[in-house]
Amino acid sequence: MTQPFSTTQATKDAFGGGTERHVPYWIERFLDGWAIYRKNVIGRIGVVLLCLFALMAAVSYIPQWVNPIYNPMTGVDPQISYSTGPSFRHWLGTDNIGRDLFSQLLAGARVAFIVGITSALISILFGTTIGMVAGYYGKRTDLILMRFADMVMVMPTLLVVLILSALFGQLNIWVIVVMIALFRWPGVARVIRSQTMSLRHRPFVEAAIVAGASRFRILFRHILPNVMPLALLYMTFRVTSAIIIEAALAFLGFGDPGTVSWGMMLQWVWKTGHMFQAPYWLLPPGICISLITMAFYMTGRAMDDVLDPRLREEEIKR
Amino acid sequence: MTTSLLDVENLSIGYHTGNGIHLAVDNVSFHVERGGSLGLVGESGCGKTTIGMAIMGLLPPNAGVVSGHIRFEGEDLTTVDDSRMRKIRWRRISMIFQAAMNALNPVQRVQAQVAEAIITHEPELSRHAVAHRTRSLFKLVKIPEDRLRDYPHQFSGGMRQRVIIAMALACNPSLIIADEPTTALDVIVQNQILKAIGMFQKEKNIGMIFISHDIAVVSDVCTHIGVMYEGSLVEMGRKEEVFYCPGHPYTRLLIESLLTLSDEPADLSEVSCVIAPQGITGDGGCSFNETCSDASAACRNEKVGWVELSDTHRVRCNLAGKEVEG
Amino acid sequence: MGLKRFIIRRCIEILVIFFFIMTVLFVLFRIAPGDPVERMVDPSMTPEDAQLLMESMGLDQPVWTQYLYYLKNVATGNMGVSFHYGEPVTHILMNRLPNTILLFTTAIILSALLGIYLGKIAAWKQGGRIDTWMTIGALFCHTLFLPWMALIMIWFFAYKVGWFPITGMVSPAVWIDPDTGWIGKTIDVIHHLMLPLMTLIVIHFGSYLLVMRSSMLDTLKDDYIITARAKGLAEKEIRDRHAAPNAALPVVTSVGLSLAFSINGGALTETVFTWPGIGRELVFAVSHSDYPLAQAAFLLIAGVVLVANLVVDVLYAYLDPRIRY
Ligand SMILES: Nc1ncnc2c1ncn2[C@@H]1O[C@H](COP(=O)(O)OP(=O)(O)OP(=O)(O)O)[C@@H](O)[C@H]1O
Ligand code: SF4
Ligand SMILES: [Mg+2]
Repeated sequence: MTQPFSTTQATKDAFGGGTERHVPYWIERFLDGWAIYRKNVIGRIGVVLLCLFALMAAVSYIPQWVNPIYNPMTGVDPQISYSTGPSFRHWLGTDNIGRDLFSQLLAGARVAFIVGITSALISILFGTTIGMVAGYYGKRTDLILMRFADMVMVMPTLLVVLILSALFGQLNIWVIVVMIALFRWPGVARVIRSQTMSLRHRPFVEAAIVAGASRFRILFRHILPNVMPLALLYMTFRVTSAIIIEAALAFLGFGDPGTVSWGMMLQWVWKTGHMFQAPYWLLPPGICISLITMAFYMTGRAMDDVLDPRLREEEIKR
Repeated sequence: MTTSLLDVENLSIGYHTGNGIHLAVDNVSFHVERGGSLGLVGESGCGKTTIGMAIMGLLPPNAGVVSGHIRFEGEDLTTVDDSRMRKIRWRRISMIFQAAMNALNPVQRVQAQVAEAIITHEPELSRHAVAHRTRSLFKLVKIPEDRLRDYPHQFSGGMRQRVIIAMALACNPSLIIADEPTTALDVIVQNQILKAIGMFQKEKNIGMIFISHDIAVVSDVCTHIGVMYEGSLVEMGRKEEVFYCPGHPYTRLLIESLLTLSDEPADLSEVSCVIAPQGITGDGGCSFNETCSDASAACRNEKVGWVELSDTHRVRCNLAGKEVEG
Repeated sequence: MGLKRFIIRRCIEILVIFFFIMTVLFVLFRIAPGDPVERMVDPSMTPEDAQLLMESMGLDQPVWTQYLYYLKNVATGNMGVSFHYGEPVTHILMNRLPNTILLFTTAIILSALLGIYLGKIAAWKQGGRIDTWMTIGALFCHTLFLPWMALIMIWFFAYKVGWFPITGMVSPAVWIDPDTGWIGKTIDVIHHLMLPLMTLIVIHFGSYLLVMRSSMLDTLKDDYIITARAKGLAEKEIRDRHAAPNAALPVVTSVGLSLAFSINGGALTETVFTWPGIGRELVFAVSHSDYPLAQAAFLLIAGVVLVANLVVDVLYAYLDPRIRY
């Protein structure tokens, strides 16, 4: 398996690069990667879309600050008691009890980012740690951890969270985030594991072992920096899956009732039977979910091109 | 003048690489007669496979024939179109690939892969006839009949190599290009396969180009030897001439290194030079001058021409003729 | 033969995984807040019936004994009585299972075939316009939000154009009519199947297309492709006979890997289209706090995913002789 970055890293380390070169090297590596990334059209589209959504999330506080009737959850337009189409007062129209759809859409972006990124971070943390430990220690540890990963992998996350919410009642958004994360690490763990296994026998790691470095130090000082880019890549794919699962959960009516997410908006339009009459209500949240997923996915694919094209077997799964 | 089976004239082939065109084959000419066999020797990367692929019309997309002609039975293969070339491939010219390990499709039975070659070129044959021919081919290369329905991964490297040979013989071609058919095999299997190849070639009067980096093997199998160095042919002649009175310092080096390698305390300094060649030096002079112990100023600056040592033996070295005299 | 051993090994693995899932579910049902007994026994039952049910599930025994009862009950299919339907849950779910299998397997097979076919073409024309548009289209379809897509499909094909029924699996009028033969009934089901099927295919084929495309690009670099070309095969034959069968193997793997994801989508699709399958039953049970039904539906779905995994593995082994022998 050829890994352009790791190999250069490996050579640098092996030929006495040592730790003091790490920091500038990281920057150099990042800039190199960015130069390749920028040439990728799909990646550029992804980044632009992500910036747009980030902007949406950032300005989501403004409407309710301008006028409380624009509060996505509690703000009701006193003059409206049914769903209306777009107007100057309500750019995207209102829902059936007179709440502003545009501010709901903005709030949804915020929820999507929070859910996606936290959940992905947690699952990457788990996946990377477990993958590195399994790959580095090998033998029994590896076998047990990977079998466990296999088991978790075959569990349909959405349905698992569903059954949990049946048992534990309405779930808070943070519980949902952690639940999603807890079931989405095996894919990451597998890739990091195989990467770790191939790194373990590289000269710079063997040199460190001979030099008497502790396992902990080897794992975090020498192996972690080399699997980081890959973990980062997987993070983008995990973000999409977390956003989708949260949205689906909300759509089915098991979201956090205290948040306004896009899935929630779809659940309202569906449950109140407005899907045939109110395209201005049905279309925006669905488009947003699909686009943000696509944006993260495109970013991931482009990053994948920057990294190693040979490690992409698993990317496709959400 | 009767036309030879294959006539390669001033062939140059270039690869488009990141930094311009890299000439992998430079102005090479040779010919192969019906039933004759030419061995091409030279170190790794000197362009042997590239020549073979060019004859088959299978150069990768980033490669192209820069100049020259490949005349096969009077027809210029550098200009024929794809559909004509497809008819020539395997039916008239077949090839035994260097990487025989991976040259078979892993999800098809070996029998089917050999049969496919026959069916493609002789669609009029009945299924029975195809099966019969396939069986006799396998018998020819000594693969037991009960292994016909196996998959390639169930075969050893040598057996796969023999499947490829069977496949190469399937359509009675008039020319076979064998590209290092025995690399990565142990000596005994290598011997068997070389014998087999030589036998078929003589029996069926097939012309052959045998590519190898091992001049000893080539002199075993072939009637003629061409020695290549960095894309150019530097010596060409009947095998006795080239092997026993080599005219070019590089050929001598190849033969010497063969001898020194078999002796224990060998001086490897010369050999290592051969293993790690420099880039092609352009047309400024003899490309071998950096390694050559007899190099003179003329070698560095003037273009080196062919020197004919006999009717059949020519060498591309400034010193060639003189040495024989002296 | 190797294949048999392989299947047996996989079966054992699957049993272990299923056992594990069962146990986790049991533990969850005990540690969740509230009374575990109330969760399994319908509050509206007569005390005598409730007592009988409790005994058959061992709910009056210590937890360890309950666990053994639970294992036995799962094995014998005695999973309690649905609060909502008032019928044994096994009965309800066995009724729904064929519907799910019909929708799920057709969707997966068709989307895999479509993905393989289109991915093959895209890779063959790598860099060309067809390739670019197919890749972008696949990316787009792959990232569509399924329930939303389902609503759009209903809105357009059922509401606007009116080609397909809005929801359900059968039209009662057709089935009640004594004159309808099995052909009429089949056509009716297919008519209802179309929309959910199309939705699932649109969502799934994209990822298979992308996998096939990149795997095909790798395959085309392999040596046996050069052999095939040297043999004088036409380009189409090389593509279809040599490259595609090898390149499709990773797609089979990816179908297996994405099964859990597909069944999520299956449940969502069933819910939106009110397709009477086990996924919808699970969602329904969860929203109506019908615990026995939810538990059984979840186990059944896990079982379906595991068995489907096994089928995919066997299919892979069948397609790739390197595993088979
Ligand atoms: N696809 C390619 N792109 C660019 N350059 C190539 C390509 N294939 C071969 N070359 C270059 O062409 C030259 C000749 O390669 P060729 O494969 O013909 O060598 P060879 O004599 O067959 O060597 P070997 O004995 O190792 O098989 C080499 O310098 C090689 O680097
Ligand atoms: S021409 Fe000169 S440099 Fe070249 S091989 Fe002959 S003697 Fe050596
Ligand atoms: Mg070669």
